[in-house]
Amino acid sequence: MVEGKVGLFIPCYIDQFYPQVGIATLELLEKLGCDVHYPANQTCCGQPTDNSGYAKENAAIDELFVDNFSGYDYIVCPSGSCSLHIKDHLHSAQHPEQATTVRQRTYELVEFLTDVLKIKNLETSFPHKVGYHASCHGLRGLRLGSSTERNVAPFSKSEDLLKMVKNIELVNLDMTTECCGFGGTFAVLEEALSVKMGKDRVADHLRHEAEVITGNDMSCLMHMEGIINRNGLPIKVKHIAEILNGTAL
Amino acid sequence: MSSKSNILNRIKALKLEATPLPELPTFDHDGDLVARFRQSLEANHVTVVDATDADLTETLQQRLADYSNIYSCIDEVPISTMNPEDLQKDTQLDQVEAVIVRGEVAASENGAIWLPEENVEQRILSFITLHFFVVVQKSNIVANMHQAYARIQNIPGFGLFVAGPSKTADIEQSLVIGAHGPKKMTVVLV
Amino acid sequence: MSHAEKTAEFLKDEAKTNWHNETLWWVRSKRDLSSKLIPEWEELRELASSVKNNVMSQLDVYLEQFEQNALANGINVHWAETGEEHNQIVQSILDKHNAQRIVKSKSILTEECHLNEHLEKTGFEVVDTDLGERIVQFAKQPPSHIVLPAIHMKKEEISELFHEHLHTEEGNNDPQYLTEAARNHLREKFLKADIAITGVNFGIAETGGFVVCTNEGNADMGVHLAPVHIACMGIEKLIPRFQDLGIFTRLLARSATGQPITNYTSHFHKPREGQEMHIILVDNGRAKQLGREQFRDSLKCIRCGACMNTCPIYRRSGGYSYGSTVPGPIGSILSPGFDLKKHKSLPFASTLCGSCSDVCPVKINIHEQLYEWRQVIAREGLDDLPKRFSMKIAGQVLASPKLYFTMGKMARFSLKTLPKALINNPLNAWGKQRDLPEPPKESFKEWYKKNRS
Repeated sequence: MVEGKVGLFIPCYIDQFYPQVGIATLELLEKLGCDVHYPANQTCCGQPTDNSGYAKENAAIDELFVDNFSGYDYIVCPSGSCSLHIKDHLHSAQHPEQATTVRQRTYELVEFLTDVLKIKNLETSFPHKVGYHASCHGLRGLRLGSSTERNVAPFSKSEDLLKMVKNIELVNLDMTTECCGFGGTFAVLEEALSVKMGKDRVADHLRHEAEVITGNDMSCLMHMEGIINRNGLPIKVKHIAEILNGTAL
Repeated sequence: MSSKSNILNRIKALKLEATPLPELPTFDHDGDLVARFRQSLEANHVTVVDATDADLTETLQQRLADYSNIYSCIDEVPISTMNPEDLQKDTQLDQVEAVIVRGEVAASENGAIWLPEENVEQRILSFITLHFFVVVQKSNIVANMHQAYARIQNIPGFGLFVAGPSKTADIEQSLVIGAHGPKKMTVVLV
Repeated sequence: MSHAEKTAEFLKDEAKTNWHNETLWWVRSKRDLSSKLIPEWEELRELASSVKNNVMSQLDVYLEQFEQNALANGINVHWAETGEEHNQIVQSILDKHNAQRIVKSKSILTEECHLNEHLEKTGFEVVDTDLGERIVQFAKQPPSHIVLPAIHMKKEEISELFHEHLHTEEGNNDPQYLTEAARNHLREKFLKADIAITGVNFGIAETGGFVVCTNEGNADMGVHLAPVHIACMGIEKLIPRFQDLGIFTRLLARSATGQPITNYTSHFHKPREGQEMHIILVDNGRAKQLGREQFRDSLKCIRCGACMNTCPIYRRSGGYSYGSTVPGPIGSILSPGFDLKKHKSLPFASTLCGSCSDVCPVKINIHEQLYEWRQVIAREGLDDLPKRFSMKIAGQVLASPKLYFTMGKMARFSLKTLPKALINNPLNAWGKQRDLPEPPKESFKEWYKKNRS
């Protein structure tokens, strides 16, 4: 339970292709007592054009974002990548202070559940073997977990939440924090390598008999799902919002 | 204008503001320094033996039975079978089988031993010998490299931190001991 | 050829790709084991980063201090603005001594300057004495990794090379046997060398000395026997104080290969009696990079290679896919500074996963600099037209709620109605080896409008 209005920020590809992730995020936040609104005029955080080198073209996208999300106490997003992008790169020439406020109030979903709502239990069940794919921007950008590179005490906000789900079995992977190879436009510009990285990531999960791959970013999961479906592999993907919300497999 | 002035001027023109230089750190390590030193060396394929000042020569001699070309740089261990004249490129330098030197400060975290050139007579001797013997006083063992460097007051014309025999893993990451330098190294702890 | 094109070639041999990937990951794992043994590891990284920041902010001061002290020690100091000038200085020293036989230990700087090609053209024999470098020299290839030059080669390939050049037994792949052959071959070269060339790991401003780190002892075998020692150093390789070596010697080998220290850490302050010692300070674009605020930090690099070992792209594409002397993540932020046009594909050879920045012992924000280079490349108009066009369109669509809504609906409609064969074909890069997502019956926006507002 938290005081204040929560603005729901739904990434463009979730809006268009995976609305169920947006729905699960909304329902989960509502169940946890939040007053959630979805600004209808939102589009995208601007990352696809930014990461391709066109950050300056993004001024209009940024202004639209600030316009949509000013006035909320928290802005919550079911994507580590999009949340990080807003936190690092949102600027407004017209309303610089508002942009700063929006940046400071933006949270990735797991971050929000752990650091703000501080939830300690969940009344959901997901009786499956699940592999957690730690998407890179959430991991190393938002520090949602300790990455293997640094000498810090191990922690994982996402896995702590997953462990609250009843009947779930989290599997260990060989490479706990390896990139899946999506990388935005990288997925098409370096197609062969992107696919190879995705295949390797899926293979790691299959080796450990996971039935489901979950993670904080639907973009990574979409990329891996594309490989899974093309090759008829015996594994599914499911965004962490859906598992925490109790959506059945 | 010279290259030197061109380069320096190019840098000076940037008018960068100096950032602070941090203080040199002191990190300590609890525990048995000698044991850790021994472990570090043995993990790196160095043989470690114990001796006292009294039986140092004898301890070394026991390990030199297979060698006929021996050179000792330690006055207290006068067991050389070669003379300095033998140790030239055009004489028998390439044939030296055992070289014995005294190490100075040593770091337990990695087995590195400081050898200033005055302890080695000729710089090449630490490298061209087949088997390298280094004598280290236990009281000279410190915890880490920060402490080791702090102990080096007079910087020699040439100084070496040596931590093991010559090695390489350049062929499919397979470790081979004895690349171009010594194939074996023994440390005598006194 | 771009990185993407070269990588697509590399990936055709999937078994070799997997082997290359696993081998480099193993080196990265050894680095992890080693760094986890030092409780103060993150503090050390911060210290090293701060020391290097200080050096970059006063590089001219430290260079002058270094030269003064080196000269006082009896070392000849030379300055080279370009790689070409560096090569000419080396040649002039060789000419002065009527030198014929040269041995050289590992120096990525000399690779950058293409020293070997220059000397071979002018009739000198240069023998690279680091085993990995000798192997690639026989193969007439550049090193594919800055620390592990022959990491891309299997022992069968090396055995064949040695059979050809050193007359070892055909088909004998034993690393011990092959290394012994190299030892004997190179021992002769060391004893007969007129000149020994080395790189420099660290130059010390306070004392005018420099440090060379090896495991093989090959740098020392060269310099302690040859009458002339030429050391080649990039100007950014300075550290302020002798005791700063405590920080860097603890970080370098652990980051590179996981060992607590290289077997030999040699500190040169004076030439040995009767020897001539030279050091060449090389700019070759470094002062220019120093002037680029976003990219200045890239000069802190101590050439450990940890970023290469960790990079999921480097591990699966190999050093040659980058087309630059220094490949991998650090190469992708250094090389565009030298030649933006030639290396414009490198900052895009990344998913910006950030692993490189987290392993870097001097805390270079590599992945952020990759992002910044992408902005520069677009600004300079070096990006290709189709991409520029589609990005402009994307920018306009995403800035307009109406356009976004309409385009989204159209995209979902086409996905639903167009035959799969049309979508999943090689022309659509996404669809070549992956399925596109199943289009939902309504977007989240549409659902929300119906169910909540």
